[in-house]
Amino acid sequence: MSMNHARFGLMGIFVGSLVVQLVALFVTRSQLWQEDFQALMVKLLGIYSVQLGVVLGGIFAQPKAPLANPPVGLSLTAMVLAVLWNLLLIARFLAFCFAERDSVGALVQYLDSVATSSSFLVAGVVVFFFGKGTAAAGSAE
Amino acid sequence: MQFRESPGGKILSRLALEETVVVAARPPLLPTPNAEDFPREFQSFTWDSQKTLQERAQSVANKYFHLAASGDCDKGESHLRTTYTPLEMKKAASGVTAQVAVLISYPCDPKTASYQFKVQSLVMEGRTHSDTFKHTYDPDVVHAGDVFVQNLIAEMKSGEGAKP
Repeated sequence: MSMNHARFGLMGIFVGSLVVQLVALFVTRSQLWQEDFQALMVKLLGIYSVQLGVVLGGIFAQPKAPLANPPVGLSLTAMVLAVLWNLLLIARFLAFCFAERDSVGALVQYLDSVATSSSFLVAGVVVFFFGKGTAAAGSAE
Repeated sequence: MQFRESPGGKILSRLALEETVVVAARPPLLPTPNAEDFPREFQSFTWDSQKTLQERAQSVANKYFHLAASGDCDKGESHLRTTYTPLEMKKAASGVTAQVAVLISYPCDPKTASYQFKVQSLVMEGRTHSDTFKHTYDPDVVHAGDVFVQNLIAEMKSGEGAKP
């Protein structure tokens, strides 16, 4: 798997997860007060802003030279970790959206604690694949 | 705790003390609105039953609410205030919930067998996925609250189980 495949795969996981949760939130809009809807929207965007900021930054700042390909095992591990982190959020979010009744306060509390405490799953992945670990092939780095 | 024959004397009995007070970890789950929270508007009804209004009101209201301690006679009126109870709405939009609390005011010492009493209802609107309830301006929710009160009073008067 090439570096570009790994990077776009990871970006797809993050963007896809965010989109799924945003769509679910819009579907649930009538079951929330407007201020709760906005608070959840801001919370979601806030959680993903860190990861997607680095991801998009890494892609737009990509050097013209082809990137050195990472070991296949490393790319797969990175994707599994990214999926795992996103599943932790999506599972609770979808459970909230499709429950007959739920508490927006409990959901925000969950997102606050779980997104922060599990960020170790993706912090290294994002930094490696979109940060300085992506040196152009044949460069000194 | 020790019981002795005399101060410093032989121990007659020894009892272990156990903590019996349970401190509530959260505020009451059934909040009771203050009398001032109720709107000034009220529905008026006539009580002409042989049974006392207070007895019937407590009996019926107990089925649907918890009751707040009513104060003494104030300006010739006694009050019965309730907690909120969920409101069933047939015409509600998806995701809309509602709850209602009532304040029943009646003469402390009615001079006649038939007398007027008033019911103020506080109807709050919520959402299934939100934690807060707000004052409602939705006609369907207000109507559901009025119907609930009318059925409650009908049940008080009839002495039977006409469910609000």
